[in-house]
Amino acid sequence: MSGSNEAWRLESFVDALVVELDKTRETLGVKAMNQPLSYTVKDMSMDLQIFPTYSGDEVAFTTAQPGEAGASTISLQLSAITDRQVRESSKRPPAPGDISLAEVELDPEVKRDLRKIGVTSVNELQRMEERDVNLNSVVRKQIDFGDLADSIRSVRRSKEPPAVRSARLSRGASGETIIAMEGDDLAVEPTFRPIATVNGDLVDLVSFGRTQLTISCSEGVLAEGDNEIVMVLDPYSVVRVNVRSNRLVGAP
Amino acid sequence: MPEYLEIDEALAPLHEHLGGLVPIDERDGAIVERVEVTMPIELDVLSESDGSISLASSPPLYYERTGFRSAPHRIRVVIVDEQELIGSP
Repeated sequence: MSGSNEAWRLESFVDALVVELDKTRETLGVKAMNQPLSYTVKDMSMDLQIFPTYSGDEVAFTTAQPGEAGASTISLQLSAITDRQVRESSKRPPAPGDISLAEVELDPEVKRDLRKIGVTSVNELQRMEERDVNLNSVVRKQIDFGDLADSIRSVRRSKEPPAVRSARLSRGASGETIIAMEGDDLAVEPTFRPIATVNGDLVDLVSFGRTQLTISCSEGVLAEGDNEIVMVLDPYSVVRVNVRSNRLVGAP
Repeated sequence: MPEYLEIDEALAPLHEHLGGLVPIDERDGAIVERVEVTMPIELDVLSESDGSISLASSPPLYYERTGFRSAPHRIRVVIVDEQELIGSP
């Protein structure tokens, strides 16, 4: 036996058991390669002698060691099922773009309560909200859906962060400097007008979109050498770009 | 998934223990179609810092009759011909 006998969670134990069963099937498959029959594990059950502990949030178990008396028995039974049964009895795998609740900033107690009722992703939470399920009756703390929506947008934004690929300088008709930037996922929030500063001075935005953002700044704002451009593209993303100007375009 | 590094040398990963239960060979035209084993086992649950677990087991390590119950856990495994499983509902 290993020296330490640590407590484990039932979910982790079942995960480990399933991995062991899969490996057993692989072993049996290899052993049967030159045989007329191929074997597999149909059923498995275990009666474990354990000492349960409850921390207030979750139950953990410690396996009884040889000679330890007074343990409780927990019985687990695993049966092989067909892939059709798996599809019928399992949750669908997360869709592309689905956000796990683990990624969202939400009160940990609310997360635990939602997990207990089988809600593990933002899509599932939204589906329950659409069906007018009163989640506040099953969680111990009130869910602030406004904060939750903010957090979801923040996570989504972090999955497609803005990227500036190029910046081009030119001189405008009235002598102002035009900085045209191209990139990916720049201004993606339709309800938010981006804000930009050049070397600390607030500047005008001529146009903005997902792939481009054009700034107009008065003469003198852009200096020769390094220039710091800061753009607040939405409440969740601030981009800082350094543009080096060797010679101002159109300067005499 | 942990790679069974800390398993006591007296035990084996559970899948090796289970996979060793089937005497796969054909003798005089007779083949084993189904194996059902119920037995006491020694079990070691190895917890990792990330919360994952690996399982090690062995048949009971001690055979002397003592007041000391060496293997308190029991396991039942049914291993069948794959065709039986596919044909079952």
